[in-house]
Amino acid sequence: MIAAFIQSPVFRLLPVGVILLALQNTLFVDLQPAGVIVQVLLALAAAAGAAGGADRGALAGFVLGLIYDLGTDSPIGATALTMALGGVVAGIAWTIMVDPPWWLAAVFTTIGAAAGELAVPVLRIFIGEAEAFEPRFTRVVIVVAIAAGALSPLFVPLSRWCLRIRKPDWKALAE
Amino acid sequence: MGIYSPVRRRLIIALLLSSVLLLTLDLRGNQIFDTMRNGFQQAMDPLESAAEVVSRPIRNAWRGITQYDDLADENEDLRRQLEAQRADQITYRAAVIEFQALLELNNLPSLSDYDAVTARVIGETPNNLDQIIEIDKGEDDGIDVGMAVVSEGGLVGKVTRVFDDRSFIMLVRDQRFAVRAKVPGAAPEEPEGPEPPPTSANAIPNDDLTTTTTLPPSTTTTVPGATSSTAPGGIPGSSTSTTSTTSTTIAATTTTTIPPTEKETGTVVGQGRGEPILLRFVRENIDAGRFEVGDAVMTEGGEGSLSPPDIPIGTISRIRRQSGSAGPMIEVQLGADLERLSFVRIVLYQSLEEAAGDGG
Repeated sequence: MIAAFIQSPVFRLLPVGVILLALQNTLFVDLQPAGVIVQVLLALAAAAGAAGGADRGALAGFVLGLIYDLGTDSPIGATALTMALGGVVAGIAWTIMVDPPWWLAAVFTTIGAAAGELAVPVLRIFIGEAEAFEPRFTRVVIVVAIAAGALSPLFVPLSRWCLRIRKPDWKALAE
Repeated sequence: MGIYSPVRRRLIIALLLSSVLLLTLDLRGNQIFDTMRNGFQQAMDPLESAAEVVSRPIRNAWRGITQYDDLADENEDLRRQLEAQRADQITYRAAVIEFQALLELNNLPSLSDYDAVTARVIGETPNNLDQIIEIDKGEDDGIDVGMAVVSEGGLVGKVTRVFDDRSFIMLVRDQRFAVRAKVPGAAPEEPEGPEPPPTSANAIPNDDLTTTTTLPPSTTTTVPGATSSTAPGGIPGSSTSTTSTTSTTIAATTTTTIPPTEKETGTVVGQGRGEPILLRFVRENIDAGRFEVGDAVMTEGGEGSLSPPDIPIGTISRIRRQSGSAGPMIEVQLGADLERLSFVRIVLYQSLEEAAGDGG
Protein backbone atom coordinates (compact mmCIF):
# COMPACT_ATOMS: atom_id res chain seq x y z
CA MET A 1 0.00 0.00 0.00
CA ILE A 2 2.86 2.33 0.88
CA ALA A 3 4.57 1.45 -2.38
CA ALA A 4 1.36 2.23 -4.25
CA PHE A 5 1.12 5.58 -2.52
CA ILE A 6 4.72 6.40 -3.35
CA GLN A 7 4.05 5.55 -6.96
CA SER A 8 0.83 7.57 -7.05
CA PRO A 9 0.73 11.05 -8.60
CA VAL A 10 -0.27 12.56 -5.25
CA PHE A 11 3.01 11.62 -3.58
CA ARG A 12 5.06 14.30 -5.32
CA LEU A 13 2.22 16.77 -5.39
CA LEU A 14 1.94 16.93 -1.60
CA PRO A 15 5.39 18.35 -0.77
CA VAL A 16 5.27 20.69 -3.76
CA GLY A 17 1.83 21.91 -2.66
CA VAL A 18 2.99 22.46 0.91
CA ILE A 19 6.03 24.46 -0.24
CA LEU A 20 3.87 26.52 -2.58
CA LEU A 21 1.39 27.16 0.24
CA ALA A 22 4.21 28.42 2.45
CA LEU A 23 5.25 30.78 -0.36
CA GLN A 24 1.63 31.76 -0.93
CA ASN A 25 1.24 32.69 2.74
CA THR A 26 4.45 34.70 2.86
CA LEU A 27 5.89 35.89 -0.44
CA PHE A 28 2.74 36.17 -2.54
CA VAL A 29 0.72 37.88 0.16
CA ASP A 30 3.19 40.74 -0.19
CA LEU A 31 3.76 40.64 -3.93
CA GLN A 32 0.47 42.03 -5.12
CA PRO A 33 0.41 43.19 -8.72
CA ALA A 34 -2.44 45.74 -9.02
CA GLY A 35 -3.37 44.98 -5.41
CA VAL A 36 -4.30 41.37 -6.14
CA ILE A 37 -2.83 38.28 -4.49
CA VAL A 38 -1.54 35.89 -7.13
CA GLN A 39 -2.87 32.36 -6.57
CA VAL A 40 0.07 30.05 -7.16
CA LEU A 41 -1.65 26.85 -6.10
CA LEU A 42 -4.50 27.54 -8.48
CA ALA A 43 -1.93 28.27 -11.19
CA LEU A 44 -0.30 24.89 -10.58
CA ALA A 45 -3.67 23.11 -10.67
CA ALA A 46 -4.55 24.81 -13.96
CA ALA A 47 -1.08 24.04 -15.36
CA ALA A 48 -1.59 20.38 -14.41
CA GLY A 49 -4.84 20.42 -16.36
CA ALA A 50 -3.18 21.98 -19.38
CA ALA A 51 -0.29 19.52 -19.16
CA GLY A 52 -2.13 16.32 -18.39
CA GLY A 53 -5.79 16.69 -19.24
CA ALA A 54 -8.96 17.34 -17.29
CA ASP A 55 -8.73 14.33 -14.98
CA ARG A 56 -5.19 15.12 -13.87
CA GLY A 57 -6.11 18.76 -13.54
CA ALA A 58 -9.04 17.81 -11.33
CA LEU A 59 -6.86 15.55 -9.20
CA ALA A 60 -4.14 18.20 -8.81
CA GLY A 61 -6.75 20.86 -8.06
CA PHE A 62 -8.44 18.67 -5.46
CA VAL A 63 -5.20 17.85 -3.64
CA LEU A 64 -3.78 21.38 -3.81
CA GLY A 65 -7.14 22.83 -2.77
CA LEU A 66 -7.30 20.56 0.26
CA ILE A 67 -3.80 21.66 1.25
CA TYR A 68 -4.91 25.27 0.85
CA ASP A 69 -8.09 24.74 2.89
CA LEU A 70 -6.18 23.04 5.69
CA GLY A 71 -3.57 25.80 5.77
CA THR A 72 -5.99 28.71 5.77
CA ASP A 73 -9.35 29.56 7.29
CA SER A 74 -11.46 28.63 4.27
CA PRO A 75 -13.99 25.79 4.66
CA ILE A 76 -12.46 22.41 3.85
CA GLY A 77 -13.49 21.37 0.37
CA ALA A 78 -14.30 24.88 -0.86
CA THR A 79 -10.95 25.61 -2.48
CA ALA A 80 -10.57 21.94 -3.43
CA LEU A 81 -13.74 22.28 -5.48
CA THR A 82 -12.82 25.56 -7.17
CA MET A 83 -9.26 24.46 -7.94
CA ALA A 84 -10.49 21.14 -9.28
CA LEU A 85 -12.83 23.08 -11.57
CA GLY A 86 -9.90 25.23 -12.68
CA GLY A 87 -7.91 22.09 -13.49
CA VAL A 88 -10.80 20.57 -15.44
CA VAL A 89 -11.33 23.74 -17.48
CA ALA A 90 -7.61 24.00 -18.27
CA GLY A 91 -7.76 20.36 -19.36
CA ILE A 92 -9.95 21.38 -22.29
CA ALA A 93 -6.64 22.08 -24.00
CA TRP A 94 -6.39 18.36 -24.53
CA THR A 95 -9.52 18.29 -26.62
CA ILE A 96 -7.67 20.51 -29.08
CA MET A 97 -4.24 18.98 -28.95
CA VAL A 98 -2.47 16.42 -26.84
CA ASP A 99 0.94 17.66 -25.77
CA PRO A 100 0.10 21.29 -26.51
CA PRO A 101 2.98 23.68 -27.18
CA TRP A 102 4.03 25.96 -24.32
CA TRP A 103 2.03 28.94 -25.52
CA LEU A 104 -1.18 26.94 -25.86
CA ALA A 105 -0.61 25.45 -22.41
CA ALA A 106 -0.16 29.01 -21.13
CA VAL A 107 -3.41 30.09 -22.75
CA PHE A 108 -5.34 27.21 -21.19
CA THR A 109 -3.66 27.70 -17.83
CA THR A 110 -4.88 31.29 -17.98
CA ILE A 111 -8.42 30.19 -18.83
CA GLY A 112 -8.40 27.49 -16.15
CA ALA A 113 -7.14 29.88 -13.48
CA ALA A 114 -9.79 32.44 -14.45
CA ALA A 115 -12.48 29.77 -14.16
CA GLY A 116 -11.16 28.64 -10.79
CA GLU A 117 -11.05 32.17 -9.39
CA LEU A 118 -14.48 32.94 -10.81
CA ALA A 119 -15.87 29.86 -9.08
CA VAL A 120 -14.82 31.13 -5.63
CA PRO A 121 -17.56 33.76 -5.14
CA VAL A 122 -20.10 31.59 -6.96
CA LEU A 123 -19.45 28.85 -4.42
CA ARG A 124 -19.63 31.38 -1.59
CA ILE A 125 -23.11 32.32 -2.74
CA PHE A 126 -24.11 28.66 -2.72
CA ILE A 127 -22.93 28.29 0.86
CA GLY A 128 -24.95 31.27 1.98
CA GLU A 129 -22.81 34.39 1.73
CA ALA A 130 -24.90 37.34 0.68
CA GLU A 131 -22.39 39.57 -1.05
CA ALA A 132 -19.60 37.38 -2.31
CA PHE A 133 -18.73 39.45 -5.37
CA GLU A 134 -16.40 42.34 -4.56
CA PRO A 135 -16.58 45.47 -6.71
CA ARG A 136 -12.99 44.85 -7.82
CA PHE A 137 -13.62 41.22 -8.66
CA THR A 138 -13.11 41.60 -12.42
CA ARG A 139 -9.63 42.94 -11.78
CA VAL A 140 -8.92 40.07 -9.39
CA VAL A 141 -9.88 37.44 -11.98
CA ILE A 142 -7.87 39.11 -14.73
CA VAL A 143 -4.71 39.49 -12.64
CA VAL A 144 -4.91 35.96 -11.20
CA ALA A 145 -5.44 34.50 -14.69
CA ILE A 146 -2.62 36.47 -16.32
CA ALA A 147 -0.24 35.61 -13.49
CA ALA A 148 -1.10 31.92 -13.87
CA GLY A 149 -0.42 32.17 -17.60
CA ALA A 150 2.91 33.86 -16.91
CA LEU A 151 3.87 31.13 -14.44
CA SER A 152 2.84 28.30 -16.76
CA PRO A 153 6.27 27.85 -18.47
CA LEU A 154 7.51 26.97 -14.98
CA PHE A 155 4.44 25.21 -13.66
CA VAL A 156 3.61 23.01 -16.66
CA PRO A 157 6.92 21.09 -16.42
CA LEU A 158 6.60 21.07 -12.63
CA SER A 159 3.12 19.56 -12.81
CA ARG A 160 4.37 16.97 -15.33
CA TRP A 161 7.02 15.97 -12.85
CA CYS A 162 4.56 15.91 -9.93
CA LEU A 163 1.95 13.86 -11.76
CA ARG A 164 4.54 11.63 -13.47
CA ILE A 165 3.34 12.53 -16.95
CA ARG A 166 6.04 11.04 -19.11
CA LYS A 167 6.69 12.07 -22.66
CA PRO A 168 6.04 8.65 -24.22
CA ASP A 169 2.59 8.68 -22.60
CA TRP A 170 1.58 11.86 -24.31
CA LYS A 171 2.87 10.66 -27.63
CA ALA A 172 1.04 7.39 -27.22
CA LEU A 173 -2.18 9.19 -26.50
CA ALA A 174 -1.64 11.51 -29.45
CA GLU A 175 -1.11 8.57 -31.74
CA MET B 1 -12.78 12.62 -27.71
CA GLY B 2 -11.14 9.34 -26.74
CA ILE B 3 -9.17 11.27 -24.19
CA TYR B 4 -12.23 11.52 -21.97
CA SER B 5 -12.95 7.91 -21.30
CA PRO B 6 -15.74 6.98 -18.87
CA VAL B 7 -13.12 6.17 -16.24
CA ARG B 8 -11.64 9.65 -16.46
CA ARG B 9 -15.06 11.25 -16.35
CA ARG B 10 -15.96 9.23 -13.29
CA LEU B 11 -12.75 10.30 -11.62
CA ILE B 12 -13.53 13.97 -12.25
CA ILE B 13 -17.08 13.60 -10.97
CA ALA B 14 -15.91 11.66 -7.90
CA LEU B 15 -13.38 14.39 -7.02
CA LEU B 16 -15.94 17.16 -7.40
CA LEU B 17 -18.50 15.28 -5.31
CA SER B 18 -15.87 14.55 -2.66
CA SER B 19 -15.18 18.28 -2.43
CA VAL B 20 -18.87 19.01 -1.97
CA LEU B 21 -19.13 16.31 0.71
CA LEU B 22 -16.13 17.64 2.63
CA LEU B 23 -17.48 21.16 2.35
CA THR B 24 -20.86 20.11 3.70
CA LEU B 25 -19.30 18.27 6.62
CA ASP B 26 -17.05 21.20 7.50
CA LEU B 27 -19.84 23.78 7.28
CA ARG B 28 -21.95 21.70 9.66
CA GLY B 29 -19.10 21.91 12.17
CA ASN B 30 -16.74 19.01 12.46
CA GLN B 31 -14.32 18.57 15.34
CA ILE B 32 -12.09 16.22 13.35
CA PHE B 33 -11.60 18.81 10.63
CA ASP B 34 -10.78 21.48 13.22
CA THR B 35 -8.17 19.22 14.79
CA MET B 36 -6.72 18.38 11.38
CA ARG B 37 -6.56 22.03 10.41
CA ASN B 38 -4.91 23.00 13.68
CA GLY B 39 -2.35 20.21 13.37
CA PHE B 40 -1.60 21.05 9.75
CA GLN B 41 -1.15 24.72 10.51
CA GLN B 42 1.20 23.96 13.37
CA ALA B 43 3.19 21.69 11.09
CA MET B 44 3.31 24.48 8.51
CA ASP B 45 4.74 27.01 10.99
CA PRO B 46 8.44 26.12 10.58
CA LEU B 47 8.04 25.91 6.83
CA GLU B 48 6.40 29.32 6.68
CA SER B 49 9.13 30.78 8.88
CA ALA B 50 11.70 29.41 6.46
CA ALA B 51 9.75 30.76 3.49
CA GLU B 52 9.54 34.11 5.25
CA VAL B 53 13.31 34.27 5.61
CA VAL B 54 14.05 33.04 2.11
CA SER B 55 11.56 35.36 0.44
CA ARG B 56 12.43 38.47 2.45
CA PRO B 57 14.98 39.87 -0.03
CA ILE B 58 12.51 39.38 -2.89
CA ARG B 59 9.73 41.07 -0.94
CA ASN B 60 11.97 43.95 0.03
CA ALA B 61 13.07 44.42 -3.57
CA TRP B 62 9.44 44.34 -4.73
CA ARG B 63 8.43 46.88 -2.13
CA GLY B 64 11.37 49.04 -3.09
CA ILE B 65 10.28 48.99 -6.73
CA THR B 66 6.54 49.40 -6.27
CA GLN B 67 6.17 51.46 -3.14
CA TYR B 68 9.10 53.86 -3.03
CA ASP B 69 7.25 56.91 -4.37
CA ASP B 70 4.18 56.18 -2.29
CA LEU B 71 6.26 55.78 0.84
CA ALA B 72 8.14 59.03 0.24
CA ASP B 73 4.86 60.92 -0.24
CA GLU B 74 3.29 59.22 2.73
CA ASN B 75 6.29 60.05 4.88
CA GLU B 76 5.99 63.70 3.95
CA ASP B 77 2.26 63.65 4.67
CA LEU B 78 2.75 61.95 8.00
CA ARG B 79 5.31 64.52 9.10
CA ARG B 80 2.84 67.28 8.37
CA GLN B 81 0.03 65.47 10.15
CA LEU B 82 2.20 64.74 13.15
CA GLU B 83 3.05 68.40 13.50
CA ALA B 84 -0.61 69.36 13.29
CA GLN B 85 -1.73 66.69 15.70
CA ARG B 86 0.73 67.46 18.46
CA ALA B 87 -1.35 70.40 19.57
CA ASP B 88 -4.64 68.54 19.14
CA GLN B 89 -3.36 65.64 21.17
CA ILE B 90 -2.93 67.75 24.27
CA THR B 91 -6.46 69.09 23.98
CA TYR B 92 -7.95 65.68 23.28
CA ARG B 93 -6.06 64.06 26.13
CA ALA B 94 -7.57 66.55 28.56
CA ALA B 95 -11.01 65.90 27.08
CA VAL B 96 -10.59 62.15 27.38
CA ILE B 97 -9.56 62.41 31.02
CA GLU B 98 -12.58 64.57 31.67
CA PHE B 99 -14.82 62.12 29.81
CA GLN B 100 -13.48 59.15 31.77
CA ALA B 101 -14.04 61.03 35.01
CA LEU B 102 -17.62 61.75 33.99
CA LEU B 103 -18.25 58.11 33.09
CA GLU B 104 -16.81 57.02 36.40
CA LEU B 105 -18.89 59.58 38.22
CA ASN B 106 -22.04 58.23 36.62
CA ASN B 107 -21.02 54.58 37.01
CA LEU B 108 -21.00 54.09 33.25
CA PRO B 109 -18.67 51.56 31.64
CA SER B 110 -15.77 52.82 29.55
CA LEU B 111 -13.40 51.02 27.21
CA SER B 112 -10.61 51.08 29.77
CA ASP B 113 -12.76 48.94 32.08
CA TYR B 114 -12.32 45.90 29.86
CA ASP B 115 -9.26 43.71 29.95
CA ALA B 116 -7.38 43.31 26.71
CA VAL B 117 -4.81 40.93 25.33
CA THR B 118 -2.06 42.13 23.04
CA ALA B 119 -1.24 39.76 20.19
CA ARG B 120 1.16 39.69 17.28
CA VAL B 121 -0.11 39.37 13.73
CA ILE B 122 1.49 36.24 12.29
CA GLY B 123 -0.32 35.78 9.03
CA GLU B 124 -2.79 36.98 6.50
CA THR B 125 -5.24 35.02 4.41
CA PRO B 126 -3.72 34.42 1.00
CA ASN B 127 -6.89 34.67 -1.06
CA ASN B 128 -8.48 37.71 -2.64
CA LEU B 129 -11.93 37.41 -1.12
CA ASP B 130 -11.48 37.06 2.62
CA GLN B 131 -9.90 39.79 4.69
CA ILE B 132 -8.63 37.72 7.57
CA ILE B 133 -5.47 37.86 9.65
CA GLU B 134 -4.01 35.36 12.06
CA ILE B 135 -2.70 36.22 15.54
CA ASP B 136 -0.52 34.32 17.97
CA LYS B 137 -2.97 34.26 20.91
CA GLY B 138 -6.00 32.05 21.37
CA GLU B 139 -8.31 30.40 23.82
CA ASP B 140 -5.50 29.96 26.36
CA ASP B 141 -5.40 33.74 26.73
CA GLY B 142 -9.13 34.12 27.19
CA ILE B 143 -9.94 34.99 23.59
CA ASP B 144 -13.35 33.94 22.32
CA VAL B 145 -15.21 34.15 19.04
CA GLY B 146 -16.85 37.54 18.47
CA MET B 147 -14.50 39.64 20.58
CA ALA B 148 -13.56 43.02 19.16
CA VAL B 149 -10.01 43.62 17.99
CA VAL B 150 -8.46 47.06 18.07
CA SER B 151 -5.21 48.78 17.28
CA GLU B 152 -4.02 52.22 18.29
CA GLY B 153 -6.04 53.70 15.45
CA GLY B 154 -9.32 52.07 16.44
CA LEU B 155 -11.41 49.06 15.52
CA VAL B 156 -9.63 46.46 13.40
CA GLY B 157 -12.10 43.59 13.29
CA LYS B 158 -13.50 40.71 15.27
CA VAL B 159 -12.41 37.23 16.24
CA THR B 160 -13.99 34.60 14.00
CA ARG B 161 -12.18 31.39 14.86
CA VAL B 162 -10.17 30.43 17.93
CA PHE B 163 -7.67 27.67 18.56
CA ASP B 164 -5.67 27.13 21.75
CA ASP B 165 -2.76 29.33 20.79
CA ARG B 166 -3.92 31.18 17.68
CA SER B 167 -6.96 32.96 16.36
CA PHE B 168 -8.32 34.32 13.12
CA ILE B 169 -9.54 37.89 12.92
CA MET B 170 -11.97 39.12 10.30
CA LEU B 171 -10.97 42.66 9.35
CA VAL B 172 -13.46 45.51 9.19
CA ARG B 173 -13.07 45.68 5.42
CA ASP B 174 -14.26 42.09 4.89
CA GLN B 175 -17.57 41.97 3.06
CA ARG B 176 -19.07 39.79 5.77
CA PHE B 177 -18.15 42.21 8.56
CA ALA B 178 -20.87 44.29 10.16
CA VAL B 179 -21.01 46.13 13.47
CA ARG B 180 -23.51 48.54 14.96
CA ALA B 181 -22.05 52.01 14.95
CA LYS B 182 -22.98 55.52 15.96
CA VAL B 183 -22.03 59.02 15.04
CA PRO B 184 -22.04 60.68 18.43
CA GLY B 185 -22.78 64.33 18.94
CA ALA B 186 -23.74 65.12 15.38
CA ALA B 187 -24.11 68.87 14.93
CA PRO B 188 -27.71 70.08 14.81
CA GLU B 189 -28.93 71.32 11.47
CA GLU B 190 -29.82 75.00 11.36
CA PRO B 191 -33.58 75.20 11.21
CA GLU B 192 -34.99 77.16 8.33
CA GLY B 193 -37.55 79.91 8.88
CA PRO B 194 -37.81 82.08 11.93
CA GLU B 195 -34.67 82.95 13.80
CA PRO B 196 -33.96 80.78 16.79
CA PRO B 197 -34.70 82.38 20.14
CA PRO B 198 -31.84 84.45 21.48
CA THR B 199 -29.51 82.84 23.91
CA SER B 200 -28.65 85.18 26.66
CA ALA B 201 -29.01 85.68 30.34
CA ASN B 202 -32.51 86.98 29.70
CA ALA B 203 -33.66 84.09 27.59
CA ILE B 204 -36.36 81.79 28.87
CA PRO B 205 -34.56 78.67 29.93
CA ASN B 206 -35.56 75.44 28.24
CA ASP B 207 -34.85 72.42 30.39
CA ASP B 208 -34.00 70.25 27.42
CA LEU B 209 -31.68 72.53 25.67
CA THR B 210 -30.10 74.79 28.24
CA THR B 211 -28.05 74.54 31.30
CA THR B 212 -27.62 77.31 33.76
CA THR B 213 -24.24 77.92 35.23
CA THR B 214 -24.02 80.16 38.22
CA LEU B 215 -20.60 81.31 39.18
CA PRO B 216 -19.90 82.31 42.77
CA PRO B 217 -21.44 85.68 43.39
CA SER B 218 -18.16 87.48 43.41
CA THR B 219 -14.52 86.92 42.98
CA THR B 220 -12.17 89.47 44.33
CA THR B 221 -8.58 89.42 43.28
CA THR B 222 -6.19 91.75 44.95
CA VAL B 223 -2.71 91.80 43.66
CA PRO B 224 -0.53 94.48 45.15
CA GLY B 225 1.22 96.36 42.48
CA ALA B 226 0.22 94.18 39.59
CA THR B 227 -2.83 93.14 37.67
CA SER B 228 -2.84 89.89 35.86
CA SER B 229 -5.03 90.03 32.84
CA THR B 230 -5.58 87.34 30.31
CA ALA B 231 -7.11 88.10 27.01
CA PRO B 232 -9.43 85.56 25.48
CA GLY B 233 -7.31 83.10 23.69
CA GLY B 234 -4.18 84.51 25.18
CA ILE B 235 -1.55 82.68 27.09
CA PRO B 236 -2.46 82.38 30.74
CA GLY B 237 0.05 84.05 33.00
CA SER B 238 1.12 86.84 30.75
CA SER B 239 0.81 90.01 32.77
CA THR B 240 1.08 93.75 32.61
CA SER B 241 2.41 95.68 35.55
CA THR B 242 0.61 98.64 36.97
CA THR B 243 1.32 100.72 39.97
CA SER B 244 -2.08 100.53 41.57
CA THR B 245 -4.02 97.94 43.47
CA THR B 246 -7.13 96.84 41.68
CA SER B 247 -10.05 94.71 42.61
CA THR B 248 -11.90 92.66 40.06
CA THR B 249 -15.37 91.56 40.83
CA ILE B 250 -17.21 89.04 38.73
CA ALA B 251 -20.78 88.47 39.58
CA ALA B 252 -22.53 86.61 36.90
CA THR B 253 -25.30 84.20 36.24
CA THR B 254 -24.96 82.96 32.70
CA THR B 255 -27.27 80.80 30.69
CA THR B 256 -25.52 78.74 28.04
CA THR B 257 -27.24 76.88 25.29
CA ILE B 258 -25.70 73.49 24.67
CA PRO B 259 -26.43 71.85 21.34
CA PRO B 260 -28.33 68.58 21.67
CA THR B 261 -25.71 65.85 21.43
CA GLU B 262 -27.83 63.32 19.63
CA LYS B 263 -26.36 60.25 18.08
CA GLU B 264 -27.19 58.60 14.81
CA THR B 265 -26.88 54.87 14.59
CA GLY B 266 -26.29 52.56 11.68
CA THR B 267 -24.21 49.58 10.68
CA VAL B 268 -20.63 49.71 9.53
CA VAL B 269 -19.96 47.17 6.79
CA GLY B 270 -16.86 46.26 4.82
CA GLN B 271 -16.70 46.01 1.05
CA GLY B 272 -13.42 44.25 0.46
CA ARG B 273 -9.82 45.32 0.06
CA GLY B 274 -9.30 48.74 -1.45
CA GLU B 275 -12.97 49.67 -1.13
CA PRO B 276 -14.35 52.19 1.36
CA ILE B 277 -16.02 51.10 4.57
CA LEU B 278 -19.70 52.05 4.60
CA LEU B 279 -22.01 53.23 7.33
CA ARG B 280 -25.41 52.00 6.25
CA PHE B 281 -28.98 51.82 7.47
CA VAL B 282 -28.84 55.27 8.95
CA ARG B 283 -32.37 56.43 9.43
CA GLU B 284 -33.59 58.68 6.67
CA ASN B 285 -34.77 61.96 8.09
CA ILE B 286 -33.64 65.51 8.41
CA ASP B 287 -31.08 64.49 11.01
CA ALA B 288 -29.02 62.78 8.34
CA GLY B 289 -28.32 66.20 6.96
CA ARG B 290 -26.31 66.93 10.02
CA PHE B 291 -23.58 64.50 9.18
CA GLU B 292 -20.43 66.19 8.13
CA VAL B 293 -17.25 64.91 6.65
CA GLY B 294 -14.84 64.43 9.51
CA ASP B 295 -17.42 63.34 12.11
CA ALA B 296 -16.24 60.49 14.30
CA VAL B 297 -17.81 57.03 13.94
CA MET B 298 -17.73 54.72 16.94
CA THR B 299 -19.12 51.35 17.95
CA GLU B 300 -22.53 51.54 19.52
CA GLY B 301 -22.30 48.59 21.88
CA GLY B 302 -25.39 47.55 23.74
CA GLU B 303 -26.78 44.24 24.87
CA GLY B 304 -26.96 42.59 21.49
CA SER B 305 -23.67 43.87 20.13
CA LEU B 306 -20.53 41.78 20.25
CA SER B 307 -18.48 44.93 20.57
CA PRO B 308 -18.30 47.22 23.58
CA PRO B 309 -19.42 50.81 23.05
CA ASP B 310 -17.23 53.75 22.09
CA ILE B 311 -14.43 52.04 20.21
CA PRO B 312 -13.40 54.54 17.54
CA ILE B 313 -13.90 53.15 14.04
CA GLY B 314 -12.93 56.15 11.95
CA THR B 315 -14.25 59.36 10.52
CA ILE B 316 -16.79 60.14 7.84
CA SER B 317 -14.95 60.73 4.59
CA ARG B 318 -17.83 61.05 2.12
CA ILE B 319 -21.60 61.28 2.20
CA ARG B 320 -23.62 60.05 -0.75
CA ARG B 321 -27.29 60.81 -0.63
CA GLN B 322 -29.58 58.44 -2.45
CA SER B 323 -33.08 58.73 -3.65
CA GLY B 324 -35.75 56.53 -2.15
CA SER B 325 -35.78 55.19 1.35
CA ALA B 326 -32.33 53.67 1.34
CA GLY B 327 -30.87 56.45 3.44
CA PRO B 328 -27.57 58.17 2.87
CA MET B 329 -24.53 56.08 2.00
CA ILE B 330 -21.73 57.22 4.24
CA GLU B 331 -18.14 56.29 3.56
CA VAL B 332 -15.91 55.93 6.58
CA GLN B 333 -12.16 56.42 6.65
CA LEU B 334 -10.85 53.85 9.09
CA GLY B 335 -8.73 55.05 11.98
CA ALA B 336 -6.66 51.86 11.98
CA ASP B 337 -4.17 51.20 9.21
CA LEU B 338 -5.05 47.67 8.17
CA GLU B 339 -2.13 47.43 5.76
CA ARG B 340 0.46 47.72 8.50
CA LEU B 341 -0.82 45.69 11.39
CA SER B 342 1.92 44.17 13.52
CA PHE B 343 0.25 44.06 16.91
CA VAL B 344 -3.42 44.20 17.85
CA ARG B 345 -5.36 44.17 21.09
CA ILE B 346 -8.30 41.89 21.69
CA VAL B 347 -10.86 43.42 24.02
CA LEU B 348 -11.97 40.66 26.37
CA TYR B 349 -15.57 41.76 26.29
CA GLN B 350 -18.62 39.63 25.91
CA SER B 351 -22.04 41.09 25.46
CA LEU B 352 -24.65 40.28 28.06
CA GLU B 353 -26.47 38.02 25.61
CA GLU B 354 -23.26 36.19 24.77
CA ALA B 355 -22.28 35.83 28.42
CA ALA B 356 -25.76 34.56 29.28
CA GLY B 357 -25.47 32.03 26.46
CA ASP B 358 -22.16 30.78 27.82
CA GLY B 359 -23.52 30.51 31.27
CA GLY B 360 -26.50 28.44 30.43
